[in-house]
Amino acid sequence: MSGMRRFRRGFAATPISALAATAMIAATPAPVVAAQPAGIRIPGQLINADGTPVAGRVLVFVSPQNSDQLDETPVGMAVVGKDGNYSITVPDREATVQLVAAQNDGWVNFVVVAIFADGTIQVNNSSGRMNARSTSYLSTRAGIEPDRVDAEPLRFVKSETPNGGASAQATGVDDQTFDISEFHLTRTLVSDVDDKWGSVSPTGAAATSGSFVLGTSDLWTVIGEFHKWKDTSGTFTYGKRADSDIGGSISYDGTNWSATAAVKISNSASVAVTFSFPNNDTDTFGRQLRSQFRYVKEFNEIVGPGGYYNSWTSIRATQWNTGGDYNGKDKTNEDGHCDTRPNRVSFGKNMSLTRDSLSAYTYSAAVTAFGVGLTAKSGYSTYVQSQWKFGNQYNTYWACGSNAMPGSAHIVYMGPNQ
Amino acid sequence: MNLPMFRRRAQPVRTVLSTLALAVAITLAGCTNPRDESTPASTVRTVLDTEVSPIPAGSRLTTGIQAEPGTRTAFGVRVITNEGSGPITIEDISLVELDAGLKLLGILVSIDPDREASGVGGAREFPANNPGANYQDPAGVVLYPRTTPAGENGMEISVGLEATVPGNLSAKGIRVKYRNDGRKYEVVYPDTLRICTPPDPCT
Repeated sequence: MSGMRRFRRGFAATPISALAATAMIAATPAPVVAAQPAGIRIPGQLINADGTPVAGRVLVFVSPQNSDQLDETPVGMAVVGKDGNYSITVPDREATVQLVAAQNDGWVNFVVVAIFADGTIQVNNSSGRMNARSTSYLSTRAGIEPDRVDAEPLRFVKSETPNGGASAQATGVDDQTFDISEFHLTRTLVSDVDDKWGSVSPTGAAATSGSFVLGTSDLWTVIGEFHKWKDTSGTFTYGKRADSDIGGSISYDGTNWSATAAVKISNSASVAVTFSFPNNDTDTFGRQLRSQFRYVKEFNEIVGPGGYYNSWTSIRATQWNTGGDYNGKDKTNEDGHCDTRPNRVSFGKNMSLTRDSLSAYTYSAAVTAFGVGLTAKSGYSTYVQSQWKFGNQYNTYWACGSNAMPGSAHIVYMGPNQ
Repeated sequence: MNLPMFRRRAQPVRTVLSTLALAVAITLAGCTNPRDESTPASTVRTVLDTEVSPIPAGSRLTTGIQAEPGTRTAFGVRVITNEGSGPITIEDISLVELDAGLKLLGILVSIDPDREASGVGGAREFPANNPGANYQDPAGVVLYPRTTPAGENGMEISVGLEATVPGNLSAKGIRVKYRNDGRKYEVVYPDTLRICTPPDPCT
């Protein structure tokens, strides 16, 4: 595994190791509870298909951007009791977390792996934002908001059919002898044409043989939607520090794919992309707008104590490449009807409207990566801005919200003019 | 002048709108404390209790109107809706950070369900001409839930401004105080209302 980027830490030297130590000496299989360091909280629950809570373990790994090959140990872990609940706090000062946060405007994406008592797994994405004010490298951004965003709770449902190639091993919650550093997650880029799923031994012996080729793809992805009607100019700006939530996908068998929670991709670069729409008197525009993101397809393998092994394949976004593309889905049929739609507002000649979007909207099928459709959601950011400047040829210029008043709607449609 | 703060309760959000409101609260307000008197008046914040405050804050809107000094203008793009289950009563609406050189002509509201425009975003007259709208003083106005016929068109906040001097002049926010179920709330919309002397494009 030479050349692999490693994210390993000394077990005894970090706050999370203290958390693990607490878990090891716990007398009962209750969720790990320790003095919580400042950090991103990752809560959730393990349940059976019938909804009843179930015990197990949960491991949290950081998802770095720009990955090629990764070999990681967890940054957080919980032994989950019979109530199924867990809450893992990943400390702000965890070195790996700081590294990733610095690349992603404070946002940190995680892979959360739930290991049930029989060794089967469920995997999902999660993301949170670290405390920008608590770290020196972000101190120059003191005052940006929000300070910290905890992860959304995840619910892992144990499959009726064991997945992956789970090997028989003792990983029950009564086994307290494991060490957090005994778990490793390796992620190797794979491509559609060289997916080695079938060649991987259940024992993982061939898992990191280096036979995989790069599985990256730079794809135009929907970041917003802009509409304008006649005698109007406009701009749509994405960034600086705009961000998108881009859905992921996962397969436990290499064939059947299911959606995972989104990863947060932020533009921490000092650039923005602005789409400009000049006023050519009669031109209208109504389309989804796209920018380019990098996606990776990875083969994931987890090994643990007692010879534990499991694997899955995942697709995720890793970074924003910048750039703008006006050729998203055509939505012009939505425009020109505001005079008869609800949630409409009017403007006069030589007026302007600027909208800093705080209303996120999820675009389904925003991108197809490696043959799998993913969602994308832009917004929740003061750095996604739409602007319109109305001309002087009409007395009234109509605008209307797609689902609410323009101040809180997902999308603002335009026209007609009267 | 300090803005009173309300605590955002750590309870599960129940609806899409309250989720949006939570994001707004996180983005714009951060953690707030009802006894925090240290916030400078120049900081425009949206303070929102996502669990019980029925008015979502939404996006930040900036309206620009080209107008010569002395022109009466109306700004009404901010239309608020009651996303709660019961009526709320408006107590007061005021502006935040009004530039010198701008004269406040008044703040009126309309809750008439059948008014032609939910809001007159910009007009060079005040009150604005909006058929079906009966503009009135905001104090005491009852805003019904959006899910009811009386509340589905929301409440337009129409702000009358007049520039008394040439330039690019603005107000930096709209503060709404209201009562709901015996509790008092305040929402500050960080909207900018701008008047510019031509040929300033006012964007």
